[in-house]
Amino acid sequence: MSRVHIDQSQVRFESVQCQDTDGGQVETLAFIVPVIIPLDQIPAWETAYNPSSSTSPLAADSRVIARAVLDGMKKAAETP
Amino acid sequence: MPIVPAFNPTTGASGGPASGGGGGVSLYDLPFDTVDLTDGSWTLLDPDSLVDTVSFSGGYNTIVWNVLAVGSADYIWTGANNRAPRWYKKLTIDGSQVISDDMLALGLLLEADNTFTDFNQRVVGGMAVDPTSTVSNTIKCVGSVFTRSGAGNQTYGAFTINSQTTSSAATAAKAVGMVQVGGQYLGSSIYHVLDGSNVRVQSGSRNANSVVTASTDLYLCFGVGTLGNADTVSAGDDQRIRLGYRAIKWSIP
Repeated sequence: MSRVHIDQSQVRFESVQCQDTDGGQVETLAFIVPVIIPLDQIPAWETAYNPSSSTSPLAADSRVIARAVLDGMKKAAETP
Repeated sequence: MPIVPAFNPTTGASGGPASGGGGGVSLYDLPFDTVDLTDGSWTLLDPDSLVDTVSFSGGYNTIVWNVLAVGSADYIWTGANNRAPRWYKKLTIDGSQVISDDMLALGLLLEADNTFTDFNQRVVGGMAVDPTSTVSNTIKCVGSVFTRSGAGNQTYGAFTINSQTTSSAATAAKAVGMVQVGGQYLGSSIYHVLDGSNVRVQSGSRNANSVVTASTDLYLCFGVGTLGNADTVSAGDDQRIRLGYRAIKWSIP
């Protein structure tokens, strides 16, 4: 299974104004969670994802990223 | 530890002042160059005539606005297009033009007058590649930013092209930023938000990640704008801010 990592010390709570992947403007107070995708994992992730399919990626693959991001956010939120 | 002058103040050569000459500029307690937008060295680009007057006193620039009846993303500095007022001039150090190939460290100071709360405001200051453009990715401004919603907390942060990362706090009073660009690339902007006693309140950074054409003259650029797309400004609304900078061009072996 493909994997990702979170740079936990760099998770931060800030206000951000930027452009989303679809070009839309983002303006929000947010946790910014850096996701590290190892170079050797990129082919597997690219294979696992078809942007034109609403059922892609598979739930199991999605969960890898979702859990990593949510763990990073949760740990940062619980840190005084 | 002795304080070592960085360059000859007369010739600009490294190694401090010539023997028998005057004192050099110390890098310890280095003051910012104060920005006086009325001193005649700055050019104002204001495509939609939003600036009524600008004045300078006590180290602060006061910008009085004309009416902005309909808000737009064109005035908030974080849109694709930028028609917000901005003052600019060539970025020179001791008379030498800084270009995109040079390694530049640009220190910045932004300090807003806390009593000025007329509208949802924004101030951006830093370097730019082409401040005469109305396209954000052509202007390519990298520096520090101040925003404030009415009388809410002062917010400061890092600005890169048309994006920003900011922090706010009730005690925020000013920000000191540092920009590193060079080698034909716009690098990073970092910032410390300070309280009235110069104690750090918040801090952060943002990367610009943008290539610049070789041998391009760089500019200093300070601009004003509104906070949100729909924010309007009444005639006579004003903002008051102290702006400072100090540019260093490194000699790379």
